[in-house]
Amino acid sequence: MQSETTVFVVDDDAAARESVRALVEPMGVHSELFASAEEFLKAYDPSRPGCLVTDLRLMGMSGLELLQKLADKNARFPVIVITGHADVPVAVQAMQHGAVTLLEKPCPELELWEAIRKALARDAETREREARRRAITERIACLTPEERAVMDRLIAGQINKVIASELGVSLRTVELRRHNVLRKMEADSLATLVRMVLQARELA
Amino acid sequence: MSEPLRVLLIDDDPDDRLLALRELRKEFPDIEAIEIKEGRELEQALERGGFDLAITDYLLRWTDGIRVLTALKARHPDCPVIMFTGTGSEEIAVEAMKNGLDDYAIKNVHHLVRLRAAVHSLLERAQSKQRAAQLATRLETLLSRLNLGTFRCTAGGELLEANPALVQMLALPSEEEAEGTVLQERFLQPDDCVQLFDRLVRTGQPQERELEWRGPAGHTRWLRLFAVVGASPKDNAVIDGFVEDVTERRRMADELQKQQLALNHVSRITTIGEMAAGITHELTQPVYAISNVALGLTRALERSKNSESETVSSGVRQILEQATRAGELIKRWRDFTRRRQADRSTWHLNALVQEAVELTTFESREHGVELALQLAEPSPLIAADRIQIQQVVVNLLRNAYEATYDQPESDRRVTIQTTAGRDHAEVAIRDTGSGVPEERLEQIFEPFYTTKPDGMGMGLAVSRSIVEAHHGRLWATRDADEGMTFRLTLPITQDDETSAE
Repeated sequence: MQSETTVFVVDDDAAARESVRALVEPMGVHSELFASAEEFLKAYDPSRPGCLVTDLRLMGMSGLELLQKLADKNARFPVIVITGHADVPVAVQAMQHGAVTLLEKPCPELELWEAIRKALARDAETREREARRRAITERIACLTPEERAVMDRLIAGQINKVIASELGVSLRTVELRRHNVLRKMEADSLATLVRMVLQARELA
Repeated sequence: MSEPLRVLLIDDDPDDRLLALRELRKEFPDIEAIEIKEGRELEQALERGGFDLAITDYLLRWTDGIRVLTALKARHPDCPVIMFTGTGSEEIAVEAMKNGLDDYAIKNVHHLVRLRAAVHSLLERAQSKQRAAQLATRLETLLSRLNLGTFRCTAGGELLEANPALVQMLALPSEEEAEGTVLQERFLQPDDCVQLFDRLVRTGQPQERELEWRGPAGHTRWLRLFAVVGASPKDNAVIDGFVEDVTERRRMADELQKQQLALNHVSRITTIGEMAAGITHELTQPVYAISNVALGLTRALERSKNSESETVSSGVRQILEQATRAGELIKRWRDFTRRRQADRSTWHLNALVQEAVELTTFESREHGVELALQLAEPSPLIAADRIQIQQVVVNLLRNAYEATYDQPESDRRVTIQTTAGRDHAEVAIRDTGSGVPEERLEQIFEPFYTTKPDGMGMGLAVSRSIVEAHHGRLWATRDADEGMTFRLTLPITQDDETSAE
């Protein structure tokens, strides 16, 4: 699903959340504002790219609880926590709950924008890798079981002769299937294929 | 008097003795008479004593009434003597009265009633004299036990009499040598003392004043002088007074005031600190919003190439700079507050609570509040800013004492209990006052809420913010039977390195 990158803002102080919009819109970034964690969770769609800027102390569900809920949903969503009263235990808790950073209000000039920029870049990168992994997985799904057996052995570093004897087929058949694997996987060499598959496994 | 009246009857005429006795028995039926018919019997009777009254004739075979009187008064000065005679004259009567005779009755049928009346009034006088003597003894004992110095002096301050307590108090040589000592010279403020005597003599009104006395060893004591115009038989005014050593009382009053000042100071500092922290926190949001908006605006202006944008962007730039500056100020204050928190050390909760109780002992004692301390053993350890937490406990204690003032003294009780849970230690302060209604239990923690006519309503609000800054909780509950309980919890720390005993 293609959707515009958005900064989601959760703050129970209207002026504070409006000010984040005033900050990011001139930078060309879309924003959506929420007065509570509950409201945000109701509207949350993990497929939409962007990042979250949330205050820690909120009416109702706290910022920390929100982080916990997002972690439970296995959301890889960069969260910037801002707070008017940080101390070491709170900072540690926020980071443990998966915040990318914790800023103290009021933030010096570019601090918040820099943090948002980095968070958006990180989200874009994550989503891109995710897309790549998904593409590779889709390609793997197009392979026949025979081609899949050959690919697994190629990645394990076996030579054609060994593969042919293990699978009980001719060397010629192995070479043909290897060609098909490289074509279907859109890899120009065996080295590219290995890197591609290992990367996809790593990301899974 | 339950004892029968014993009378010494001196008369050599048996008929006269009988006459007197018969007359007296009409009023005193169980009277006992020691009848004296001759000189030797009188000697023996005087030797033995044991009579309440003597009645003597004037004309006796072996002597006369004046001599009998003199002998009697010499041995028994307090014994009343009546002369009962048929031969008396005015000269004799006057002479006898001069020698201490108490009354005079004539042996004559028409005058016999006088004898009874004389005995009656003399006995009464003797009794009241005895009572006065007892009273004087009791007073003397009381004064010496209370360590009250008493004195009589001239209007010029020269001592005429001083009791042992005063002699000791003023380090005078002895009771006898004290006479003639000039009182004002004993004090460090002689003029004040002279003034007091002058005013007393002039106005006749009782005067009192605290004066400082310096001992031979150089130490000083505060003495309170209380003086009245004495009842003097002569024309010269005399001054009666007493002196009380008030050094200890003054020391305690000073101590109380010092503690009060220290407490007020801590209280003020804490309140200012908390208010500043609150204001800082309130400022955070607008400053945050201003700097975000200003930064967004600078970017927007950079993009639009409008002719006025130069002026506007310089203005926005300034807004941004000032917002940043305000933000730095807020952070600096916050760091200061945080550094105070970093200063926290480990303390024994019990010791901290006991100190707070001691700091407020004057108040509880003054109003007769009965205190009960139930302390957890061993004492839980807490990490705290000692002064701040003590301030909270002192606040809660004072509130608890004051809450009980609407009760009679016998029902004013405050219980202070410490307990240790798994993670938290608790201090519970229970009072027997009438308390706050259930629906107000949260309201009392709001700033500027107060039930006291002269309260600012910051005590509980500040207390709660202090406790929360220590990651603890403070709340109030109504007790089922009577009064309220304030509970304060603080996290227990495991640190062994304690800074306090």
